[in-house]
Parts: sequence; structure tokens; C-alpha cells
Amino acid sequence: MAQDTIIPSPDALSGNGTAPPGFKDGIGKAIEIKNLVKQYKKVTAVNNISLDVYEGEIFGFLGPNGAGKTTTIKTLLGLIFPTAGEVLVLGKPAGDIDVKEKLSYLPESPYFYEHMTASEVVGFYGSLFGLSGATKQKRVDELLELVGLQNAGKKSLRAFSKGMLQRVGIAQALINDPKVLFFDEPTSGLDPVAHRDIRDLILHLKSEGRTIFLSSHQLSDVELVCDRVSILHGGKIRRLGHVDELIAGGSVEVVAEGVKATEMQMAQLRDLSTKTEQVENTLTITTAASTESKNRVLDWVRAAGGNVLSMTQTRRTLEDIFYEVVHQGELETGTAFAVPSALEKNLAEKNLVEKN
Amino acid sequence: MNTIWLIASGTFGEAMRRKVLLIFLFAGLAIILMGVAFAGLATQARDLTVTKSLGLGVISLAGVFISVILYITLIPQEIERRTIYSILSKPVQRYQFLCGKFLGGLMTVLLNIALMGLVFILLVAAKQWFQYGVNPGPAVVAISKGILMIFFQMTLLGAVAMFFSGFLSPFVNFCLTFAVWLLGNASSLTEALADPGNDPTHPKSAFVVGIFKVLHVVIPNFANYNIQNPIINPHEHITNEPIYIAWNILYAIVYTAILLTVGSLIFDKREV
Repeated sequence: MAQDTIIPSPDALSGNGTAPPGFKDGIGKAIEIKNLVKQYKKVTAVNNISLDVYEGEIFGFLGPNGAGKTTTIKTLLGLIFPTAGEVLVLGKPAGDIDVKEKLSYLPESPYFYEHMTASEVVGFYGSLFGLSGATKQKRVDELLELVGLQNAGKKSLRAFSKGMLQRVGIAQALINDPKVLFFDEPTSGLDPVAHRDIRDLILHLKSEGRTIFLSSHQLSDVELVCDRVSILHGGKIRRLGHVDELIAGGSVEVVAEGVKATEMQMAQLRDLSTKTEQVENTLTITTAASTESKNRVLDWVRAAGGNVLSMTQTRRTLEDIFYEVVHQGELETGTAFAVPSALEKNLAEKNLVEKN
Repeated sequence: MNTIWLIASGTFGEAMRRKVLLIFLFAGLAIILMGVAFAGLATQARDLTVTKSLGLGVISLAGVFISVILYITLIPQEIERRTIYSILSKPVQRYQFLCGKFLGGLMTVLLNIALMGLVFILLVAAKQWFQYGVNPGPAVVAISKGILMIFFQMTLLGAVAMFFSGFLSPFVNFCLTFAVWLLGNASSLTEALADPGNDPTHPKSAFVVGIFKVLHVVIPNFANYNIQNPIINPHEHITNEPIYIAWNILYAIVYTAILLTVGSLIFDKREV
């Protein structure tokens, strides 16, 4: 599928330009990262990245471990400071106390004071925003209900499972009715039901107009919920764009029989296809998934006197793009696995068995 | 102030449940109990001396361990458990976080010392009253003063550990805080070494004298808080005792405020 790789323009990578598809022009920027560099002694964790996140958008921030995701999020929260570059949240420098009133953060595998109950923990964070009395309690009760903990509010966190703690984490993250939410691996270690609940909740939060900056390894979730994503590797943004744009393409496999092509027709086919394979009387042609490409290949088969036996479209997923980007990055940095992909090997063996 | 208080109460709740601190508390209480029970083998005067000496010594030593272990781990633990991220991403200033952690630690130290002190005072009073038929009032007042001074000594020690925890690892912090504790208790020694002296046959190096002068001024004077001798020995008295105690309490408060201010400035620039 390498032929379909989308190489974004420098403008797209720098995050400049207009609002992404689906967003009205002139919409405000919730997050602006301009030429951010973060260096730890000799290690460059984030290497000159720039991107904008628009208000009301769910932005997926992807990358393998050590890509610089958490470093970037910590910079956006003002927990660490940039070596170079500028980071703005809601138009103000990261860490600004006024901005903190309007944002929230759910760290990966959050820990809360275990001696407290769920209600007390959420209330504790509410008090940090100046909530008090009946207003605070009402908000706490609403949020515990939202995350499905209305019956566990009086239980000590010691008795909570990881999934329940994650729900407490989400409730505390919503206590201030935030405009911008930073979620770091919100579904990490959760069972499928909790996983789906949190995914639905993220979509619900988007429907309320909130901006969500989502860092996750759950690529299927990201593909489902995010408007745009960026993929980091080695501290650099390798891909940035609308999810639909990134996964657009894919390929179509046309299987035909009885093709009797001339030399000239075969030369034409090489231009039309990305791969051809002839086994006895059967010709398999792989081409890009666009309607134009498909039609041209079908016309070619008919012109060559063949019959189309089947046509299969392969859809690219975010996982394909992610793997492509990370693998490319690993090859560049010499950190790729030396063994061939076990998955590819398995598939190859399976095909062989099916053919036999 | 509300934010500081919130963080302090959260810290206090967590700290009071830390097993390692409870071990020191219960060990301290056990030794105090045994000390009061077994000291009565000697004469009445000797008995009271041994009891007071042992009790105040144990409270002081347990207080040192509780303070140091608590304060060197307060910030690193928050970072390790990532609690600090969800707190500092809220509208909380870093100085509020640091002061809240300090205050929460101080409440823990106060409760531990107060518990040990209360048990000790009750035992001594009971022993004085029931065993010897003596009015326990003077002994109780004297011991209370000693416990008060131990608390302010621990406040100062906690502030030192908290200050170092802003930029040192817990292990280095532990070693350095103990070194400061030992030097601060040997303030008469550092004072003597800082004195250039008048003996021309044995001139002191100006450099060494300078170093000890700086140490004597910079390192908090923990020795001033050890008033066990006048408490234990009825013949020893502190001149102008109320002023001495008030002055040293003020010293602890001012020194702690300075350490927290400088510590906050350092912590403000720290990456967490």
C-alpha cells in the first residue's frame, strides 16, 4: 500500500492554513504549537513541531512510545517548559492561570488519594476551581452519574477497579466544565465495555462543543472519534491531516481470465496498475481505489479480451498509516525490528495453504 | 489560602495512612510505655529523671524520622503517582502546592508528636500522682514546653527537607537533611570553629574560619530547641525562659518562611 502514502505539504505539516474540512473558516484555534522544541540534555524529545487544533475538534495525537506525545502534552499544560518555540492554549501561554480555569487533563492511569471516596475526590478537584457547598455537590453528583458511578460515590477508592478509577479521572476532568480537554490514553487497560463507554463519552463531549486533544494507542478508537490526527515519530510530526484524508486511497484488486494482451497493452497496464501477477490463465491486477483507476483497468481487461472474475477493494486503516509512518521512522533511525513481521509471515503462510 | 488548605488536608489524609510513619509512631509509643514502666527501679528523683529523659528523647528521635521520611517523599511521590499532574493542571500556583504539601506534612508531624506527647504526659502525671503522691503540675508544664520545642525543631527540619526535595532525589535529600540536622545540633562546635581565636602560636586558617562562619549562620540552629537538660535536671534553669522559647519559635517560623519562599522560586522553574 506504499503507493498510496499521503505526503503532506510543508504547510500542512506546519499546521498553518485554514480550518480543517468540516470546520468553518475563521473558527478559533484552541491550541497553537509553533516550532516547539524540547530538549533533555542530549536527547531531543520534541523536534520543531507546529500544529493548530481548532475549537470543537477532536484531535488525535499519535505516536509510538517515546515519540514525544506526553512531553508535548506536559508542555501544553505548563508542567514543563519549551526549550524553543511557543505554545498557546486558548490564545494564552501554556500554564497561564486563567487558561487553567478552562482546561482539564486526564493523565494515563491516574492515581487519586485513596483514603477519599469517589465523591470526595471529584469534590476535592471541584474545590480547586472554587466550587463549594450545594453547587459543588450538585456538580459532583451529575458527573458521577455521567460516568456511571452514581452508586459508588460513597465508596473508598481503595475498592475501585482500574476502570472505575478511570471514570473518576474523567469525572474530575469535567468538574470545571472545560473548553479544552487533554486525554492521555483514556482507555488504557479498560475492559471492552468501559472502553466503549469512554469512547461514546468523548463523542458526547465533542457534541457539546468541547475541544479534545486525545493521545492514544487505540488506533481504531482514534479513527472513529477524531476529526484530525498527527502521527509523531522521533519527536517530529510525520503525518498531519483529516482522518478521512489520511486513510483515503487503499487499493482494488481485479482478477481476470482469458486476457490476451499485446505488448503495447501490457505497457499500458504497467501505467494503470501498481502490481500485476499472472498465474496460468488468471491475471491479478492491483490498482488505486479511485473510480477512475478502477474504470481504466476494467476497460483495459475488456479491450484485452478478458473476463472479470472478481473485484475486491482493500480499505486502508489508520493502523496501516501508523505502521507505515513508524516503520519508515524506525528504518531512518535504525531502530526497526530485525525480524520480519510475524503478521506478514502468518498471512503469507495462510495464502499458501488456501492456494494449495 | 483555600487552595493551600485543600492540598494540605489531602496530604494529611494520605500521610496519616503511611505505614512507615505509623511504625515510628507505634515504636515511639511502645518505648515511652516501657520507659515509664521500668524506670521505677531507682529512687523517686532518679526515676523521674530517667523517665523524662527517655520520653523526650524518644519523641524527638521518632519526630526526626517521621519528619525526614515524610518530607523527602512528599513531592517525589506526587510526581511518581502522577497526582501532581492533575493538581497542577488546575488553577493552582506552584507555591500553593508546595505550601499545601508542607502544611499537610506539618499537620501530620504535629499529630504524631502530640499523640506521643499526650501519652507521655499522662503516664508521667499518673506515676507522679499515684506512685509518689506528688503534684504532677510542674513536671507536666516542663514536659509540655519540651514537646513544644521538639515540634518547632521538626518544623524547621521539615522545611529543610522540603526545600531540598524541590531539586534533589529522595536519597540525596535524606543524606543532606541528616547532615544539616547533625551540624545544626552541633552549633556550639561550628561556633567555636568559626572563632578565629587569640592564640598567635596556633593561628587558624582564614578559609576554614570563613567556611565555619558561613555554616554557623546558614545552618539552622537545631541545638537551641533541645531543652531537655533544664527539664530533666531541676537545678538547671534557662535564663528568661519565656523569651528564650518565644525567640526560638519565631526563629523557626522565619527560617521556615525563608526556606519555603526560596523553595517555591526553585519549584516554580522545576519541570514535573
